[in-house]
Amino acid sequence: MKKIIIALLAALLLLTACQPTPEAAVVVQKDFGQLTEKAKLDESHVPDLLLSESLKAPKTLHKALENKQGNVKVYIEADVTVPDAKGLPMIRVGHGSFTRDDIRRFADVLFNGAMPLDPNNKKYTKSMIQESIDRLIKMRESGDLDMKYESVEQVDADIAELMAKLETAPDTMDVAEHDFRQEYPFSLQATEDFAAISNLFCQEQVIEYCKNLNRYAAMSLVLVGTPDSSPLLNIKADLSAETGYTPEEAYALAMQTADRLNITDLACTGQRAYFLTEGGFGVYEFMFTRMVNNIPVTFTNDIGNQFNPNSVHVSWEYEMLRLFIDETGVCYLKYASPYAIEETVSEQVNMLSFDEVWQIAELMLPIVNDRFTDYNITININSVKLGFMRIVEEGYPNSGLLVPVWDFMGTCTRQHSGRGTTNKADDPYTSYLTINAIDGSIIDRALGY
Amino acid sequence: MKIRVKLALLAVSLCALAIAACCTVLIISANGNSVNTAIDGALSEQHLLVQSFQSALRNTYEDGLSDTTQQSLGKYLFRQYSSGSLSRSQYAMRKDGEYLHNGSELDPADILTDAKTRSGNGTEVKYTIVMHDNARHIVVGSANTINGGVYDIYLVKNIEQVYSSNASLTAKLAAVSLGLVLLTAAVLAYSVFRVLRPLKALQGSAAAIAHGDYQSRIPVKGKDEIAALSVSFNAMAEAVEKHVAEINDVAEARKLLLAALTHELKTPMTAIIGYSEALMKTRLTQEQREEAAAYINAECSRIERLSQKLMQLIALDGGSGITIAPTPVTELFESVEKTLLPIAKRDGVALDMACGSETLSMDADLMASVLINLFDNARKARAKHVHIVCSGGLISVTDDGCGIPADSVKRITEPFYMVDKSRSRKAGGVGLGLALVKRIVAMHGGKLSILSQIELGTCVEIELPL
Repeated sequence: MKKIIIALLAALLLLTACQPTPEAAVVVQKDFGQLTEKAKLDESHVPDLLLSESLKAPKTLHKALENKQGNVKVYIEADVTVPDAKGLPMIRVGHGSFTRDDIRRFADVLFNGAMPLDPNNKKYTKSMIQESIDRLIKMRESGDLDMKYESVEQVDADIAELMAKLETAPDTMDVAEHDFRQEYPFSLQATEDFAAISNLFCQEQVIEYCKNLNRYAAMSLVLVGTPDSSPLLNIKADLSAETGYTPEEAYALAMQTADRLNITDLACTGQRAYFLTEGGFGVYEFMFTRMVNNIPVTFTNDIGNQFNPNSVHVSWEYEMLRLFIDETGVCYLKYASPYAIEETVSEQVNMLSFDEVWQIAELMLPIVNDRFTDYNITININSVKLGFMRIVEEGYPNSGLLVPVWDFMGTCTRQHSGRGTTNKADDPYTSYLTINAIDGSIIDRALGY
Repeated sequence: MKIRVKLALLAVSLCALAIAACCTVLIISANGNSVNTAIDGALSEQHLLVQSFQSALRNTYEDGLSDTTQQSLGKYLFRQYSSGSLSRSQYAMRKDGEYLHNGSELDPADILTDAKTRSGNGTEVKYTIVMHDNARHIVVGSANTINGGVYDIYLVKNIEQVYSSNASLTAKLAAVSLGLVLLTAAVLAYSVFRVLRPLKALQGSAAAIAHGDYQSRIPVKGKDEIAALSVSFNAMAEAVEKHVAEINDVAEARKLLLAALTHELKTPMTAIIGYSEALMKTRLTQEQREEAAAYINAECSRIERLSQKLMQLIALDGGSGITIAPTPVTELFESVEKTLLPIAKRDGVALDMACGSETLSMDADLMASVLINLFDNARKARAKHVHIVCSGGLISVTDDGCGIPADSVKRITEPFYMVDKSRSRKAGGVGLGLALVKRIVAMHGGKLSILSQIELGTCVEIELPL
């Protein structure tokens, strides 16, 4: 009997399903490795020629392109801008971060010496609260409720809450100084004037300053997305009347502020001016990007934070500093995603000639911009620029490369073929084609690769 | 090991084996199906990508493009279509042997060098499953000639989830199987115990019988084999009890016979010893000597007759010496009449024998012995008339002797039992005649009945089977 039982158990074990053991795979060099290989200078490189000569880039470009379906037309009437250098490097960058000293410096400059306060420890004064109550009552009487409120009852509830706080509010502000040692994120405020609280929001990779929190909401049109012309937003060149600053004065103030902030690695690579009709005020915007060997990273409207749900890639915004000046001076500043320079992968990279780049652009401009089959798209390229861009490898957002790229920038008009509606993208800082100057690959600026 | 344990273990083992076999087949089948489904899915996905890319490339391709432009176009289109997939697969593409894009951490071209091939839709696709980063990945690739260039398009997909699901299913099935086996074991053990419980009663009863309790029986429940066994056992116990009783009766009878024999021998031996000692030691007269010698002779003759009848009785008890055959009664009667007539004439007994033409199954010699013994008893009972009649299967011997007392009728057939010992011994009887008659009739399967009345006579009827 024992033998029978043992035999049965043995049979049971033998019948157990066995899985085959797969082989181990080999990890190989990825796209950046190939790019680095291609970037190595070959024998054809002539060392002492300027890029405009070595790449044989024209000064201007005049072309007209159309896709096979005929719904995408590209007109190029552009200046071709090539950096005044003999070569361009390739730099590896990583995620940088702001130090406590950086924040202290920003606070010092942007708050104009006022003591930064920790808003979590403050108590609004009676005058501040009364001011809020008065504003809410006025809003209620006018019927023009802020977007925050859906009904008059909500306004009444807030008024009642403020009235209750008024009773116990102090006459003067009694707050503690900020020691800049709080954990991220935190905010600083530096005013006792409730009507114009200045706020400095601090994170490891973001510093955001707003002089007037009330104005911040009104500026959302220009702070988020691409600021194209609309009934609410007029793009203008000169806001002297609205701001009291000429474009040159505003630029000078921006440079001065950057200088005081000790922002030496960035340079102003773009500027805009808007009049916000709803708010009734104008702002100049100055965009700063990193300089590499005094050659800037090209500024475009793409932030680089597009999320690809079909990929494990995590987005990494481009390094950018945006500085806004209104009638009060510097009214808004945001410095995001500072780069940490890790290494110079190559002092001088091998780049495609302009002819090769143009062959690619000639084919790809209509293809890349043919995304809306129901639309007739007209693109006007007014600038062809060789500059830097930070690219990443898909799925590896922690390390990037600053590489030379060609950008074809301009404006665009889209007309729906059925509805006949038209929308214009007339901001000049939109790139309609970005080509890697080393290997000719097309880069999606929204994704960063 | 007890049989119920053996049975239960065997049944459980077989159940476990069956369940394990079924589960194994299920698991292997399910695992195989799920892996094949994953493989098919990956192949379909790769094929779809190839088709989309191929179509897009053919639609956008223009003659005369430089290699760099072709690469740029190919890379762009490939990225467009591969990033549109919802499956979170990773993709790679080579053109003319050089990677244009590799979104995976693997070298698909190298991995697929010796991979399995599947042909379909006019193309040959290679695929294999490899382990990477502690997860199984399927790598699929095919070479596609588009616009004169060879584009190797690869898909790398993590399918560890399939194996995890399979492992989970296996674990669940194993748990369910184990539970089933345990449940089956419990039910089987209980059932076997219940079914075989009567055997314990059987064992107990057998032990009781072995210890002499021949009346021990086991209750019969149901109609199954155990019930049949119980019935058989009870029948056996019944037979054993009966046979033991018979044996005991026989042993008792033999004991009594021995005792009676001892007693019967003792009397004549005492007399023989007495007379012989007198002859040897005492001065006797001639007449006294002749009387003693005659007495010794008579007693020795009696002992001889006793031993003959005893031998006959023992032989009959052994079941030997009987030959039953159809015998005409007339032959029997003629034989017996020949033997009895001289004795009857000598003793002045009127013998009357009558029969028909019946033929009875009997041992003629033994039946003759029966009739002779009955006649002899009648003669000893001072009968003047003896009628021996046969009618059908009934033979009756009727006499007008002194009769048998009512309380002796039942014992008259016991060995050595004599109603009047002195009269019987004087007449030469030893007390074994009717015991012989009874035994012979019993051996014939017949029935003996004795009717008697004091001073009127006795009628002995022997009913033989026809």
